[in-house]
Amino acid sequence: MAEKKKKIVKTIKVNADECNGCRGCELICSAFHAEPKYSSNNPARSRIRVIRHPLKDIYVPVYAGEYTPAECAGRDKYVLDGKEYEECAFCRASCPSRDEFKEPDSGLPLKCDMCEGEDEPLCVKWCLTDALTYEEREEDVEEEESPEEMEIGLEALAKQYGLDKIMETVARMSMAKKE
Amino acid sequence: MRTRFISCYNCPVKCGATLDVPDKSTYMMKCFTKLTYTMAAMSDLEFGLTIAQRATEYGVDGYSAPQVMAFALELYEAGILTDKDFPDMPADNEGRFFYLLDKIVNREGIGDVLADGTYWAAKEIGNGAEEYAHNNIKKIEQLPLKLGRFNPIYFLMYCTGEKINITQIEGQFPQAPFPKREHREKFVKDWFQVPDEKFKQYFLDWDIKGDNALPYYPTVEMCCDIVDWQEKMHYIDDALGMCAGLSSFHLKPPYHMHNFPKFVSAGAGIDMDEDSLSHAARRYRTLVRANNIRRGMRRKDERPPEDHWKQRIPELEKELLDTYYQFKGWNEQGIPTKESLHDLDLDYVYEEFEKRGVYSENGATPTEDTPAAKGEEV
Repeated sequence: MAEKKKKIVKTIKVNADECNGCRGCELICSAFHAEPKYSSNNPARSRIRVIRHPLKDIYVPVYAGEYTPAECAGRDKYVLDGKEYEECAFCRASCPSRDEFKEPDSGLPLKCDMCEGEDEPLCVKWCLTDALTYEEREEDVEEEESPEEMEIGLEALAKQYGLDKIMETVARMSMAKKE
Repeated sequence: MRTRFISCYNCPVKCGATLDVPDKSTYMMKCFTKLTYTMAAMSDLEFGLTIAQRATEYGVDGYSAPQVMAFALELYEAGILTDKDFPDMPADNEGRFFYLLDKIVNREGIGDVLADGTYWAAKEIGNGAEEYAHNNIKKIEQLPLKLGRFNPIYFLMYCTGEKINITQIEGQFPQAPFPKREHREKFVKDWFQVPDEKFKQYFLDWDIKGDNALPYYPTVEMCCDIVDWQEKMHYIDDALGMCAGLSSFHLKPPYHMHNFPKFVSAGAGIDMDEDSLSHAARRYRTLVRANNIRRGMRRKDERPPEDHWKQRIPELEKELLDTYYQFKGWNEQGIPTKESLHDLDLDYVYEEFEKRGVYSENGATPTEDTPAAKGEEV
């Protein structure tokens, strides 16, 4: 039986109207995550990027989410307040179709860790226009007990051959071993 | 029309904006251009921002271009330029500015002459046109400011600035005294950017009337200190690739004389303190002057526009320039002396000056009337 559990979800709320395109978020992020800490800053290493087209008045700070090995099919366009956005402008994935969120030397995906150990993500702290706000939300999550791997496999076999056939086979195999 | 205030990379100051003119493509603007076309045409902001869109797309500035356009129309009104010079020009004031902008950018007809700026255009046009090119220093258009009372600090900055624009030398010291002493006391309380405590006293004692008021206070010596500090910060910014908007152009900026040496040391590994940074800035600033001296710049060129202030005080102006030149290690013509060049390890500049004879009259220095001899061009 599924059980309901409380879980804290950490997010950064982005107010794109307030962004002035200064990319201070990229600076502090890449500096904080540099090895050693604060030894360098390089926006290409930042886990937050400002998707920016000044002449179209598009400024969308996007922080890095999950890695995906394959591109999605989405190439949709969204028009908001008369401005045309590409679907990727809102996507947080480290994805083969874009340069963002990849460690430039190794090509490995980058993901936002909310600046673990700090009171709040540093991009939020240093955003001088308050375009970024840190939010913690409590959400109900349904947690089911996950079946074991062998059980999943057996269920698939049972569907195809029936349980009796499987048991027969198992008995024959164990007899053969004894002989 | 304004869409959004914007910043440069990693800067908290939103000194630019994107603007959207209906039916035209969006453009970006820095602070000052918003008013210059409006002022030149004596029109409204809507006109100013609309023509600035086209000027920006053309790559024309918002400083000299509007002034040279206004200059052309003044000459037209005075009969120095005539209908022949402006074929098919619209009758309305704003239409004329758009017309002139296109002529200048395409260098068509009178536009070809105007494109060189008011100084050179006036020379070319002649017939009394020079009188209308009155807002220049060292042949370059200045802010269209016309003020009343003479200001000795600004006099020195306008005269001796070699970055040709007041915004490239002013900034660290208030432009005018605050009305009450208590305001001034409050201001100096957290004024840690001053390179020396004496600047606080200069400002505290600066009053709007009485003995310690303009034009005789700050005293000539104080003016030298104040101008030197303000200019120094601009040269440091330029050398470091720092924007004046976070440093030299502002009162109480985050980057100043006390922390710059630390940034230089940390960033470049150069062992630097305030004295050595000042010395480096002085050397750089002197090299800029040396280059202009070699090209013929002299005391006669260091004049603000005649009508910049209604009040002019020739004897005070002379004393200011004499004292400031001496303070900077320049002779009475504004030429760096042998000794000051030697102090800055610039002996080779002195040798060059001697060779060209710049210390005696103009020597071999070229002028507009007598260009450099073959092989001696700079």
